[in-house]
Amino acid sequence: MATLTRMSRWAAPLWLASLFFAVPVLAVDSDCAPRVTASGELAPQPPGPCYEDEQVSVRVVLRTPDQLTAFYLGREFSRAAIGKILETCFITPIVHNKTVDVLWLELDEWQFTQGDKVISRINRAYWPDKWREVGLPQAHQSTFGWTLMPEVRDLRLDEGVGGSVVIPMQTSPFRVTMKFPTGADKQGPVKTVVFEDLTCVTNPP
Amino acid sequence: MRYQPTLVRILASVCLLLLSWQVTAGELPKGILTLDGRDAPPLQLKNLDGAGWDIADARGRWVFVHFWATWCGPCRREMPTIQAIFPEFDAKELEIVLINTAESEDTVFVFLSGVAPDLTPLMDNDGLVTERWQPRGLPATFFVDPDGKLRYLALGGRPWDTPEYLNFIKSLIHQ
Repeated sequence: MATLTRMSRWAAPLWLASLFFAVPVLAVDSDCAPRVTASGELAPQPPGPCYEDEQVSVRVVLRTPDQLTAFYLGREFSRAAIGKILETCFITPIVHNKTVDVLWLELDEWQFTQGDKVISRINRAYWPDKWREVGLPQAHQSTFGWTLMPEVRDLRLDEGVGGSVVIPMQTSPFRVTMKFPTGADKQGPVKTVVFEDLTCVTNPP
Repeated sequence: MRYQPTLVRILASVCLLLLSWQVTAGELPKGILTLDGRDAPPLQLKNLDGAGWDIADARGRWVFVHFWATWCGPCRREMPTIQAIFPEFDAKELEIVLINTAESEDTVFVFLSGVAPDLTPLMDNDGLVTERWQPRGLPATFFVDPDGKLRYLALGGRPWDTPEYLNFIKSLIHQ
């Protein structure tokens, strides 16, 4: 099973190699390795753990409550609506299919756990009642919907998808096991990526 | 010399044939999906200036239907490339139509006036037209043929001003 720690071991050597072998390393099509700009500087990377192999890359971006608030305030969401968002825990995976085979994103195939305890994911059906309670306009509901990860997507060659996946707020670290069926008819081997020790991040002190 | 105009015409014809062959042979640029040719969903919206636009009136020409929002990073990066290709096409052959998904006029105006001042977007005020079209995320670009059928979908942001994508679009209108 692929784990995050394996990726972390590769990131530093790749970056070091890029200092000495700029052209070949720049040619590597990597989503997780630090990117070097034309001026030789390291390009800023999204925060969060990243896994990558020849088939798929997955980065998990964890946003603080302040970051979520700033984003939705900037989209003119009310404080009451943002309050509903902050009652939950948002993680934002970015998935990239690197093969010619179809890679299926099916959120129902992802499992969130804490030890033996399964954490139920909050799906899209949860939100309409919350938005009614705070009177969120339809336009904002639409925007919110586009910021969520699609429930199902047949990712084609080089197609990426990102968006928020929501679970109830957790005070302890949790694990997410992401299963991706493969093949146009889902008959290929299932790709599994696991991220350990994720947390619902809080604002820095 | 006399043969020059003829030579130019022959070369131009060869180029167009090659461009058309690129599409018909299935060699599409990265991130372009072929669609099944079903009818394009209804699309009737007002633009930022309040003028109405209906896709039903666009029969006879290709339409580049682009869904976007200012909060989406790839949309922001892609928009200058759409501005760059805008003058390349005669609206009688290909119409470039931007649809902003559920944002305010102020937000859209402030962003576009900086990066794409020639483009006047349609405003999907409540986001429901975007949901009816079902793009695979934002941004997304549909190519609707002169008969009103969905022919291609560009996934995510694409560098439209590069030869690969520019030639792809030219090949469509010269099919």
